[in-house]
Amino acid sequence: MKKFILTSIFLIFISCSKDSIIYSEIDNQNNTLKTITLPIDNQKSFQSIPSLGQNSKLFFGNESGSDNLFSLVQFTLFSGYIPPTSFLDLLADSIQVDSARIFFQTLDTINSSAKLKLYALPVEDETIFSDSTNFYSLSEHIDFNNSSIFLNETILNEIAPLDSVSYDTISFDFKGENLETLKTNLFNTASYPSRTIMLTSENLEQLFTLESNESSREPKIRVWFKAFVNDTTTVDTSILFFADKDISIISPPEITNEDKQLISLNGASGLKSLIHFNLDAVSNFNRNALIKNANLILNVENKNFDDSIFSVGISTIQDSISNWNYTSFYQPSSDYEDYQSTNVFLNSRNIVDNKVSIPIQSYIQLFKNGAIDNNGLMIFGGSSNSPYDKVSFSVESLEVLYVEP
Amino acid sequence: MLNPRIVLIYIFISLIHGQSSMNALGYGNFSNKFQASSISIGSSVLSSTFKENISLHNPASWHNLPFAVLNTSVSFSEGLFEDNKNAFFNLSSTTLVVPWRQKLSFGLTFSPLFSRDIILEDLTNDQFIFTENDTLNYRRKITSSGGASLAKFSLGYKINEIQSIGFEYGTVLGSSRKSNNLIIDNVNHLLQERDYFSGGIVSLFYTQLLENSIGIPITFNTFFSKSLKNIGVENEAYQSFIDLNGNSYHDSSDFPDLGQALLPIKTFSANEMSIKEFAMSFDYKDENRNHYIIELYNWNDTGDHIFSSSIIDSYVESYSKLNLGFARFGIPYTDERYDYKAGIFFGDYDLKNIDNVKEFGIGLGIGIQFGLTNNQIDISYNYLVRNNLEFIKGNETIQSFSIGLSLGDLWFVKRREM
Repeated sequence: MKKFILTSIFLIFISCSKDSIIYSEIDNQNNTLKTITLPIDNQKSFQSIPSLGQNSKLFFGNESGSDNLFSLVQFTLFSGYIPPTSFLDLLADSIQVDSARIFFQTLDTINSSAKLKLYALPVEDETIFSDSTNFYSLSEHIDFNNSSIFLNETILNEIAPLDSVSYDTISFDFKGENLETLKTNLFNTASYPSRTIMLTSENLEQLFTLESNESSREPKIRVWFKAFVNDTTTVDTSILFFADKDISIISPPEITNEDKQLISLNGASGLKSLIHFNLDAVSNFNRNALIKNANLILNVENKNFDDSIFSVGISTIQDSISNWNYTSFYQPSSDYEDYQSTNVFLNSRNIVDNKVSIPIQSYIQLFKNGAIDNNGLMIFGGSSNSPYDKVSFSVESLEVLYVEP
Repeated sequence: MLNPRIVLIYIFISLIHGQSSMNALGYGNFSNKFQASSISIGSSVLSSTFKENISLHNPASWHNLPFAVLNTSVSFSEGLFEDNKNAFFNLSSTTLVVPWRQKLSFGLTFSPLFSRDIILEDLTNDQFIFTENDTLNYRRKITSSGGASLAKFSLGYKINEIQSIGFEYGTVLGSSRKSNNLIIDNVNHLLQERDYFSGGIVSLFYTQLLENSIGIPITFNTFFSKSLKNIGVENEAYQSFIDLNGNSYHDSSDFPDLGQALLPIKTFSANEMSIKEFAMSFDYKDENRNHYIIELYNWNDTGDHIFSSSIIDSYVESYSKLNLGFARFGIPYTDERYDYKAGIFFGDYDLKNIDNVKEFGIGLGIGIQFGLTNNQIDISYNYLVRNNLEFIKGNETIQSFSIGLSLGDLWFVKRREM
């Protein structure tokens, strides 16, 4: 009897579902969905140190008013194999280097008679470049062009990866006389500890890229040699050295006065921008206001490229801005400020139909919730952009849609 | 002995509340506490509804029980509002009553005090044009659930052959939730809050047989109940969010991210509800064990109601009910062990700010006794019409079937060791 009763109760329980009471007159107050226009307080362009050392590409070619000067690649001191073998070890009497190959990989397709030239930089400094090594501060560094020793060259004809995800290889082979030049000027780290090569293009009027150290397909050197262990034993083998760090050094497009008045971006010159909206009205929003839609609209005013993909990033900045005039790291003045972006809010979008629309409702909501100060937003080009590409935008007031459930 | 697992199941299911439009008022509907035998006479509080001269809601009558009783009731209801049918499941109180030598009795009861279980949904979309290319369709859905419950300890005492009294103290506990959902292009925008209830209610019962004084076999019952410690509510208001993953919980996948949301605001109102109840009934019994019952019941709330968490901007200030009932009780262990019950009632809800709601209902029921310890199943049917529900602009009809199960057991009896 008890089982029957309990089973009945259970069946009733699971057979019942709770439906909505359909009710067509729940009050929708007129102010359920609201809009507000937030004006721009200030905006500026500024020039920061170009961070091409962190780019996953090495850039070559001259276009859009930019010139590739050269790229520098420093290799590891030891090979990637056990036991560790250094460049200097290869110069020992018991070692006979047979040949060497310096090779790079690329995703680009090119068929050109332009040349890619390879040089060694036999200088006595151990570290000869960093992110601050760029067109503007060459005077603070060694004269790369006049310090270089020509090693080898190749013509960029018929370079074509099989598909969009495979890589083609560009090799510089060393044997005989040029192998000796390589050993003298690159392997001899006792005299020239920099282990750095210079790569430059000649007569290349289009953009061409090689994978850099930041890519998983970084430049490498393979060395084939014989090691004479004793009178009867010889080991015939090869070892591989990997790129340790690298950088492209580019003469960027000129920054015009118009660029300085607009929201302007360029990777090679380190051109970025800042914008500050007046969010006073947001401070007065109700506690339960939700920012539903707020897109920063940037309209392209001018650009030096046609159809390439250009990504625009936006982020919060760490400190408030006091100087809203154009500033440059290259010609710092007394009121020069260094702007640090933070990843509290970060977003990006590509240019589509000469316009970029970047959602920033999270930024407004964070400010409304008191989680961040309204220090402004930094606008910058994405790392995947060509450093030659420069674009200037005008900016619209911010239309914000907010709701109160 | 009673199986502990069954007790656990009863306690579990008694936590669930059913929905009706009255649940949208204030902190919810307060009339879900009646068990099946009482519902069949029109939700009578005091008079003979469970067995002859015994009401499970009246501790002053419990000394008449021959066995300890564990009782619970469930209801399956169908609400009709305009053209919409709405089925829901409702569980009323669970009561354990233990009589001692037909003189003293005590009981434990767990029952809903308020039920806020309701979903109101507007299927009509409004439109909002944000930009030239962005037209938003939006509508609203309001959901509330849970409600305050009451855990009661009761004592009944038979003073003499014609008088008995009862005392009851209930602790208010539990919580309810409310969610305002603004649905924009099928994405939920939720504003949620939660109310935690606390307080205490004390009740006094009195029963007297009037036959000796007026010569007519009438039993007079009355009770008075009051918030000993007014019902306080702690309101916890959460920040609204866009439920991007559609799980109705604010988490790291929503906007704003839970880690970036504002902390809940907690507010406490100590005098949110102040409830008084009063009832009196006359129960006439003829020589054929037929009972004719008339009962008056009044409920009122003079609390502050400072929180605006009611779905409808109103609450029940008072409720009055007239109940006319009939019951014919069977004789245990005979072929005539069936109880037959019927009743009608008229109710009037006095609502804050809006027009009163009238209700009319009928109840029918049968009770079947079985087993050596007077186990009992009560099956009742209740038909209820509420008119003039201005706040939802319509009438409401509710039909419900209730089943009550009472399991008896003999307590406080010395058993001879084998």
